[in-house]
Amino acid sequence: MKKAYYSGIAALLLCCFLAAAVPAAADMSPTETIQEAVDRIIVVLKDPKVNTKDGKSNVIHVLSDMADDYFAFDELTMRSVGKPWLAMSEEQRAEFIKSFRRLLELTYLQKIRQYDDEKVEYKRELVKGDKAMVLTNVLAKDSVYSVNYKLIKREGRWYVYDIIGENISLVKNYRQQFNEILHDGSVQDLIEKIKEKVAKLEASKDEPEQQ
Amino acid sequence: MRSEFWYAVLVTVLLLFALPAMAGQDGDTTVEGVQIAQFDDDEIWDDSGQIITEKLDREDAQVSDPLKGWNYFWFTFNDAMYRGVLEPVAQGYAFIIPERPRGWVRNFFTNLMYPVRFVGCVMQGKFDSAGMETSKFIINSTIGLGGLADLTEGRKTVRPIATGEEDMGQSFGRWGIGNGPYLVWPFLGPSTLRDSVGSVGDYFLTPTSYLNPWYWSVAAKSYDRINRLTFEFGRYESLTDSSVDPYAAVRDAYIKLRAKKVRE
Repeated sequence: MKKAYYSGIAALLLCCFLAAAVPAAADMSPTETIQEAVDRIIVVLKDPKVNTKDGKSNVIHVLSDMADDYFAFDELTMRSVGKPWLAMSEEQRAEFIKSFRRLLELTYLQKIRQYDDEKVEYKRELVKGDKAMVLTNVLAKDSVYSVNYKLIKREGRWYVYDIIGENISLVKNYRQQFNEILHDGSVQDLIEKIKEKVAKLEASKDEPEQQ
Repeated sequence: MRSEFWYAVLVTVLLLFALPAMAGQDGDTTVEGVQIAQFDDDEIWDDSGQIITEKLDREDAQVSDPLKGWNYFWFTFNDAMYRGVLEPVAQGYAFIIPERPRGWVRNFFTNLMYPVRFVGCVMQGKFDSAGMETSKFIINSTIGLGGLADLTEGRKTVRPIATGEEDMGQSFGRWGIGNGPYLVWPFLGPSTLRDSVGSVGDYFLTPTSYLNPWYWSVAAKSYDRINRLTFEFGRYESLTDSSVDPYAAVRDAYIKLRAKKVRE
């Protein structure tokens, strides 16, 4: 009994120590947050093991686990849906976030793998209250792309909720698509559509890639 | 004196009546209203990082698409053409011809399009850029072996000069002419009314338009397009493959890319 009590205390103290270690991360600026994310992703991608057959699917797992540290998927999904979000039930929202996240992982993380030593140039950082924007350029072999991130602050940490590449906002682009579908169908139809797409992508993922 | 007193009474009474009415108005902002505001009005910056000062700043305005039936049909057609013909051809071509010669071809056609860029710069009063494009054209056409080499690539100008990547559609946009309805043309792809008018103008400024007979002109333009495609494989796919409604995804992407080009 007493033993359990002491180990409980010990666990509590340990938690306190761990919690104390967190503020180091909490003091990161929006730019530093993006920098850390980019650096971590590049470390993963430069790992020689990545280019093996099983490495490829493994990378998606690693990056997907990492995504939670840097992305606010709930915020991103809510904004992509827009006003119809308010009419959705809790279950629908949860389901929506889950399948939409899977869709983004399957498409964008696949793309990230084609990393070809691009450099990121951090241009500017705008902060106002709990919102921020980080403006960057991605320097590829023979062209420069503008990539801007919108972030939101939660419990002292910044999370990305929109990526704007070459003026095309991820959130707004999906909002147009979702609007188009919701125009003729219900929210449930939309969720089914996303799931269909995910299933299709998962099926094609196992096939050998072109190029 | 007395009239002032009555006036004060009147104002007080009016205020008393008005206050609950005002309060009522305040009370009307339901939770829902606050929630809706979450999506609309909490954007501080637009997508390029400019502070949003007024509602007018929103590029978010829905693009008008009254010809959706026609557009959707040609979008589907172009998509099939792209995936079934254009891309396989470009992939085969890229497999046979190494990157460097393809780069020369790209430079050659880019150099040839100089009149379009020059007129676009002049129409927008960008005389610096027009001058820069002119000197580029002269150098690349002579020392650069008729435009096969781009000797100015990656070089910085002495003072910063805006890029000369202009066309007539962008100039119209610069003059404040709106997009008008979204239009998809067979083979040519997405456009808007404004950009279509611009493209007609650009057509007359494009040297390859004057090749005779007409099929040589089409061949030259198609070759340019296939060659250019080899440098941007996968861009169209990544957009459409990640979408649940490719039509809307491409429409939004086109409008946003053009908006960026007009701004620059």
